[in-house]
Amino acid sequence: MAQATLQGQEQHGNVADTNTGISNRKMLMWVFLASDCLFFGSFIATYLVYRNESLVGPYPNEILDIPVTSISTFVLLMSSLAMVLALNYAQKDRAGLARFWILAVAALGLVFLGFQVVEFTTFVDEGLTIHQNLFGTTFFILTGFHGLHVFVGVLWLLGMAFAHFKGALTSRSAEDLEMAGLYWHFVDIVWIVIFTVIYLIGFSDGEGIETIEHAATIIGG
Amino acid sequence: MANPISRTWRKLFYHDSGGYFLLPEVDSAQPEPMNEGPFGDAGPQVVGWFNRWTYGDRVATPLFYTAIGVLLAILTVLEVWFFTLDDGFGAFFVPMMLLLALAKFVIVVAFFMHLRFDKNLLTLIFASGFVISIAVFMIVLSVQDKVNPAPLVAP
Repeated sequence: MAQATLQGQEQHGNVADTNTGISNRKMLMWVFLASDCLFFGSFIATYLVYRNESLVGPYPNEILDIPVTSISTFVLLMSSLAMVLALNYAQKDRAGLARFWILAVAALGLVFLGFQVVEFTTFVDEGLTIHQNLFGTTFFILTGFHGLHVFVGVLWLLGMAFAHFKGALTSRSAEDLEMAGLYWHFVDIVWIVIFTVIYLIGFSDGEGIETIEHAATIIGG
Repeated sequence: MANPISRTWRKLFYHDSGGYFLLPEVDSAQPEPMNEGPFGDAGPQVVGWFNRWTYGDRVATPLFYTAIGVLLAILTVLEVWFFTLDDGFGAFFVPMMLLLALAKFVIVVAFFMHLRFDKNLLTLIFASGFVISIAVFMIVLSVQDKVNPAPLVAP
């Protein structure tokens, strides 16, 4: 079993000449991802703290479009699958297939960004801007930063695809792709949380009754 | 040891029963008994199946990753379906959604991000960041009334 595990790790390119057996780049990438958890965790917590605190609309239950967002979520999930297939083929020295799947990931990422642009534009048309209410502020900051991460990921992958277009994408350079893959999958798991917490659970949020009563007391007083 | 003084000394002060108090042989006295544990010998078998199915000791194939992708898609469809149910699950709706999201999160991290196949140190690093962020999350949510006692009033 131990021998098989070692063989598996070698084929994944996971045994490096360091004290830990993990390459320094990979270690750094995981530390970065762990710190990025705090980054997004803070934004999600902020969204929840100000949940139901908006005094003016539009409110989530008036404006969120679950069917469209479900499709964009599906697109991002499938891009993760394409990413892992790209890495798998790169590790097996099948550069053509690896490049195909890298470009597929970038294309799916662009589709996701397209959905987000359409969503943001619709929201602004319906009156929800970043300074309209607390929902708008926290929603645009959170999903906007996520979209920015996706955009950086797309640029990274397109750069890799074109840099390796001359057949340089081999199992030796697969770690470059693995770093991009880790980043991309992280973007995916952040969206898994955002989709559930903000869209599915937060969809029922409307005018906060307690907030309105409290505000009426303050204004009346 | 052979001299009588030494023999007497041992008889007086050593707890040597000369085999008189030997305990009977029982299963638990056997080395690594197979039926140790609450589920008999099923535990190692289940772990073995899990390892085989999740490629714990080998390199995963594109087919395996595709199966994981299909599983993620099914979980997403389930999430949206639960959301569309009129009655929903009442008080269980939020925990159910969070459980499904957690399952998807763990599957992506374990298989797509290769933590299942990688060294445990990487799991520890990522889990520590995740746990700290959850702790910050819980602290912020628990003190929100103190931080923001009165709602902001619209202009």
